[in-house]
Amino acid sequence: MSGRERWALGAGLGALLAGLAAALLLGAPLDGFAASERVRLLLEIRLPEALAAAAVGGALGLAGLLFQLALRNDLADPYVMGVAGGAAFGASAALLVLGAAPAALSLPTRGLAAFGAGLLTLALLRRVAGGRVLALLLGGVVANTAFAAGARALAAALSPGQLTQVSALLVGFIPTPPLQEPLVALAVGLAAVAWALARGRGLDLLLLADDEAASLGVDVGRARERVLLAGTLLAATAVTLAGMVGFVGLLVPHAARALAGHRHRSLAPLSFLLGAAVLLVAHGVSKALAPVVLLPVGAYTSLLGAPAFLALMLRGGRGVRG
Amino acid sequence: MIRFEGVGFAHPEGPRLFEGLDARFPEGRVSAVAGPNGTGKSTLLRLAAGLLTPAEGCARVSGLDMGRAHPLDRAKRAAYVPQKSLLPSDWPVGDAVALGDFPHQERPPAPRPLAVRLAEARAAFALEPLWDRPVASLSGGEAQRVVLARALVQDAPALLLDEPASHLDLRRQVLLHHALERLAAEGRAVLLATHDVNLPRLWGFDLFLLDRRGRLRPFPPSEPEQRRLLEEVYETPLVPTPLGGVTCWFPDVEAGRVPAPPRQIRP
Repeated sequence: MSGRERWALGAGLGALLAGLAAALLLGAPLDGFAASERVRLLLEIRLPEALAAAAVGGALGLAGLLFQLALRNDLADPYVMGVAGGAAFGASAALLVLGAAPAALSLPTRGLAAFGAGLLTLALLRRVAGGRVLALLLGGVVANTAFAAGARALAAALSPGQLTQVSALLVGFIPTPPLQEPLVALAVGLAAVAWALARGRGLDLLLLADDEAASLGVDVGRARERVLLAGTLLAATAVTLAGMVGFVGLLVPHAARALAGHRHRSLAPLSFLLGAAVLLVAHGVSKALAPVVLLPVGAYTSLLGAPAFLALMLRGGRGVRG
Repeated sequence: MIRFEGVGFAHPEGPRLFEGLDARFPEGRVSAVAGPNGTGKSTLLRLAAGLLTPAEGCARVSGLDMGRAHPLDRAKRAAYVPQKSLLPSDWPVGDAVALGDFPHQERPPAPRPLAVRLAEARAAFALEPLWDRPVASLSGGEAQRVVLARALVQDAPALLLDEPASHLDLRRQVLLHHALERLAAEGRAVLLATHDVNLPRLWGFDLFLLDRRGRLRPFPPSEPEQRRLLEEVYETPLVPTPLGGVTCWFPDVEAGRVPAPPRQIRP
């Protein structure tokens, strides 16, 4: 690992800690509470929320990196590719089916439904688009819109409480979950980071032409499927917890590349760290501004992400590999 | 040794390219395959690299059935340089060359240390001044040298090169020539595809012609036989031009003869 990569990972870790502090400290003032109450609020509300934000942001950052790698295109991410929309639809459908089922069933059911629907969406879009990356990305955007409408249609059949849950899924929000939910999501994200580290240079080789990578010893077809599978799992994990948070997956890998260079051995952990940091800060900001304007975290990532996305496109062909 | 044993192959929805093809390209030699466009020169190399699996027969490198081998095993047997490569634009040249070490990451370790192979490849294709530059800033010929250097780092007993000189300037063609000669002298089998029927012979390589029926025809020694074979395979009248002890062949353009190349060039 080069000095630059070590430095970048250190910076990522620093950003994560700063984000964690922001997420834990920002929000409604705790002055009026007794000390014991403050500790309870921190441990039972702010900590699970912060862990959820970290898990969701990290999963999205890494998912974006993996999708951009698998498609060799810098504009790919789970949101653009329709995978997030599919997963949100799946999770909404699961809410409908779950109805009054016990709470313990909720997370695994929603998660599996999101993962399954995300995979299905990706498979369908890839079949329709053939090898055309642009068609795949455009198809993903269309699919997202269609899924959002579909989820709202489903919501019409739900109870008012569930309707709120579906609406939240579509904008992207950080819930106050039972602690085990963000812990499971973090475990999925860290397992994916470990997997990417173990793949090592095999991931880098996917950026070459398929024939070149194959002649250097990579089973390209299988490796690409695995990367997409891991990316979809991460996206579904994020969506299950916090709905459709846009632009994190798209932009974080670019920041990671700017800091650490091009080796996926460092880009994978760094994308996770930076994604987590970004969403922690966005969560903190959304809480701090809540007395002025009450916006879900997804609104902040979109407000900041859309101009950044445009800037990326304006920078021209260099950043966009066809 | 690169061997084709009864290879039959057709691309999906394409014409049948090979039927019962038998050929051997020994170690210690540079073998060049020329032939008209679309006869399957690149396909021949991709079959040898194991990137395509023949419908019948097999392509072997040092005995390994390449089309049915594990990707890492075949990467240790043959390095392949495609006609067009896709290099990640933001990578520095040195890292792109070092990718050739990928097949040696797992046990058994590479026969020679990476640093030695990298230094050799860097010197062989004069990459020192480019080493830290991003790949995106390279010209076509510079990028081709990067891919050739990567193949050297791969350190395989066979090299398969698709039009390796297509973007190289005159001086860099000399570098390529020396590198190929040295690789063969080290006991490797080198097979390259080219559309030039003269350069390989000027360089002292073995030449084969791939005709439209998928047959590999060794280049004959006598001038009348050469004319007959070339005019049959390329379906165009040719004129001979002696050069450095080799009879070169050029197309006979309607309006007269193509001017002969300057005489001071020596292979």
